[in-house]
Amino acid sequence: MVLWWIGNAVLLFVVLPVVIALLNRVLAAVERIRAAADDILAGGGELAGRLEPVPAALARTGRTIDEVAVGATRYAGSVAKLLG
Amino acid sequence: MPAAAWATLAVAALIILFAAVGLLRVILHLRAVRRTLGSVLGGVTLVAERTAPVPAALGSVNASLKPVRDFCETV
Repeated sequence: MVLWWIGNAVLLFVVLPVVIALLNRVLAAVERIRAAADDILAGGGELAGRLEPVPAALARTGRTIDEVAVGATRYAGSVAKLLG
Repeated sequence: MPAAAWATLAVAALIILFAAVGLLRVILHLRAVRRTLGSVLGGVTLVAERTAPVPAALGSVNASLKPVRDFCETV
């Protein structure tokens, strides 16, 4: 009977604190993961928002470069004639 | 049943209770993380769609600027 009570005491004062400590460590890690995931989601949302005008800006850049290329080619032709 | 048996049952129930509550909290956190990561996946797909024309556009820009560069090198 004494050994049984000793076992009960071990359960209460050793096993239970160990279980609680391990669960706390797991919970702390999971909470950090959750916070990091929330931060990633916030950053991803901001990134997606900033990338919204990219396709239109690229199209405008393409048109501008085409115009620059046409003008430069004309200029090059004129300079070539002058330099003869 | 002796008192020691009742004490064992009580302590075991306490341990199981703590473990159950802790694991339940872990499950809830993990479900929230899963939802968040699903949203992140959708956002990453959106970013990939919006940046998809970049390589083609850059190739086109470089091709358009090549005559200008060639001319500048001859001057």
